[in-house]
Amino acid sequence: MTNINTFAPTVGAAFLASAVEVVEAFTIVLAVSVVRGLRPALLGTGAALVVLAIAVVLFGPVLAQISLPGLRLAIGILLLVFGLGWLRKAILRAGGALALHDEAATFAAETAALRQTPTLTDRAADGVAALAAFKAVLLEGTEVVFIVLALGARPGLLLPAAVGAGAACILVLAIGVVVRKPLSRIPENTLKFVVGALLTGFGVFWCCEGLGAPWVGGDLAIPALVALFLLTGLALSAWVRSRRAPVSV
Amino acid sequence: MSVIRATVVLLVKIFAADLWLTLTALATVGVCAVGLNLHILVPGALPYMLTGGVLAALTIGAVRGSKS
Repeated sequence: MTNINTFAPTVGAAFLASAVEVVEAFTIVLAVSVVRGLRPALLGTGAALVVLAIAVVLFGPVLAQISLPGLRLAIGILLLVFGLGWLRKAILRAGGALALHDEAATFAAETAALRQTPTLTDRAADGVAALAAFKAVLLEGTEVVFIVLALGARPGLLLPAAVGAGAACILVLAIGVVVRKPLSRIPENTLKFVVGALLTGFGVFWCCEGLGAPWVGGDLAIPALVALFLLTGLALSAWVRSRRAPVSV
Repeated sequence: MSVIRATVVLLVKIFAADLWLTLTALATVGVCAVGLNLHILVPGALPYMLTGGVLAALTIGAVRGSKS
């Protein structure tokens, strides 16, 4: 049964995860449109979206063929692996052990790379630029597709997950079109922290459901698990930060 | 070709960025499944075992990452 305890975290996780990925893809598409114009940027983006749509149409029905407990276990493991990876990286970034993702630096690097094609004809340079946009949208979009399909694998949750992801795409793109700059002020690591905790919480919950073990409190366990992983992540990032802080003599 | 290579690299990155973390998470689920099937583990204890195992994996993953 779908209720607010599963609905809200599903929409939230899909929205936040998609927002992070769209911000990253937008930086590259913006670099392409600044250097080579709107046409190759839209061409590359459109082609990547078509490939992603085909992937959803091909793989979506495959999920429906798996038995419900098996599906829950498979999706639970997928979300667990995804979520733990995001959460660990966000902890290390928040603790200063890994560099934060810098959209302005990515934009500068991509713009410089696209300008270093002096020997190419205009048409070939447009092709290279369109390919850069295609690659960025395809790669970031692949993660979004994974997450939306995994979160939406429970009956009645595919639409909320898709709506969450779609809303994030529209919102981030609308902000991007207005500011016309890399969206470096969006707190990407904070979003990744929350998404990591959400995906890990869902992953643990569904693994148990897939194995046939009951949760005390039913679906209420999901927000409790998310809070547990969030608090653990915060404690671990504070510990990592304290280890790296210079010791005053 | 570069797009296919980048997609493969992405998929590898997703599941093997920290291979140890991925394997520990999978092992935790595996141990719980085996324990349940062999009736060593009662179903009511599984959520606590799995949550504890995942928390331990995350903690060790963060500690390992902070040293590198």
